[in-house]
Amino acid sequence: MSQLNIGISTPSPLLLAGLMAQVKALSHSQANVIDATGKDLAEMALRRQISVAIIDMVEQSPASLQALKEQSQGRLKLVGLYHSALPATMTAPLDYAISIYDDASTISDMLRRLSKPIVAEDDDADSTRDLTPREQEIVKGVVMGLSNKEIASQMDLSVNTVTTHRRNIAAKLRIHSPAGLTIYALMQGLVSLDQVAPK
Amino acid sequence: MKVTRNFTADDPMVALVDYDYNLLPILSRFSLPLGYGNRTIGQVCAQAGVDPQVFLLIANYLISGDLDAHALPQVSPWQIAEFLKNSHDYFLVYKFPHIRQNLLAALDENHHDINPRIVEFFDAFISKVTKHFRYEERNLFPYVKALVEGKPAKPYSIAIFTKQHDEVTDSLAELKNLILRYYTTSVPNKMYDALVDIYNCEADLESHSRIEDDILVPMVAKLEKK
Repeated sequence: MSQLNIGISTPSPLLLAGLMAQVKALSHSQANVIDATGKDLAEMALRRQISVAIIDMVEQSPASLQALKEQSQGRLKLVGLYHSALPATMTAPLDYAISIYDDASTISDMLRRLSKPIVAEDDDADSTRDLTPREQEIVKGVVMGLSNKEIASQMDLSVNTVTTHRRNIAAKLRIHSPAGLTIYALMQGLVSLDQVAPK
Repeated sequence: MKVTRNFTADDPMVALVDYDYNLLPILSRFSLPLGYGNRTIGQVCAQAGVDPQVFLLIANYLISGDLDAHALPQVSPWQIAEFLKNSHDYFLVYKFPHIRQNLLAALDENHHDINPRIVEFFDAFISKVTKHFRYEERNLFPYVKALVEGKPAKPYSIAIFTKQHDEVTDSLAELKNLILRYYTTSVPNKMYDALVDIYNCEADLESHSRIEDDILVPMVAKLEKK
């Protein structure tokens, strides 16, 4: 299992010390927790120092959260630490939220959820995880030179469904052409060279 | 807000490059010889047989995104078309072969089975662009020339020439993505170089289409109304 690197940012020394101790204990030392108060969290995420930030909502505004989200380019999961009820504009950018009154089970749940996708990201064996098994089947069909109609009848789907899948595949991979998909599929080991349609 | 500068024929050429080195490929496409010394933009252009008005219209437009309304009437659409034709040669004869060579050098032997596909992909991109360029040279540019000279042009209108540019840069973007996201290599230095080339080439092609769409097309549309 990969390490979870967590930065905590709060102006309260008591909350900081308490959270650091709790997270460390509950993660069985799988999490590396640092004090990130007053530091540039986005920059730390880009440098891969942290992948999770627990931030005290006392210091945040919708704009600051949005900026943090954008600047960290998807490399940072945000956990809001809240003291009182928050408006939706504040909770929407968050990946998780914990209250200062939450008990250990909530913290455990948070760690479990946050560590899951990060582990997958570091796991090379599963680098096609972006595509669902069905989407992978469709990529194979395209690479073998089948038309949408042929793929639809083989997989027992409607042509419309196949078209939708292909749109999603293009959006996920940023690859649109059959030639590009072929290179992708070969690289990922989805197909072997002899399965690829001749040019 | 950044205040963009408007360069004139009296500014040193070096100052222009210092201000925005992204213009270097444009200078290259104008075939301006290097070794500027302290010469002004006007002098460098004159010595190279380039109309400084045309050069400045294009350079200032790419810097600021605004067309200089004073300079516009002094430039003929045919001059812009000639520049675009020269740019086509620059891409086909110089730039693409150069990138292709760098790409070949960067391929990892471990992918001997996939490498030919990557090269085919790049070659398909080149032939797509070549076809697009040739189309313009056969249809658009002669039309512009006839229109400027007041000769009866073949029935054609600038409206026919719609935006086909996106398709051209799309396949380059796709190649970039394939390499960046999925091409694993343990000897990446050369591939990084090739990526820089591809990114730059994409930007070059984009500025090329901006000149066509935003300068040439409106100029010709105006002339058609006369």
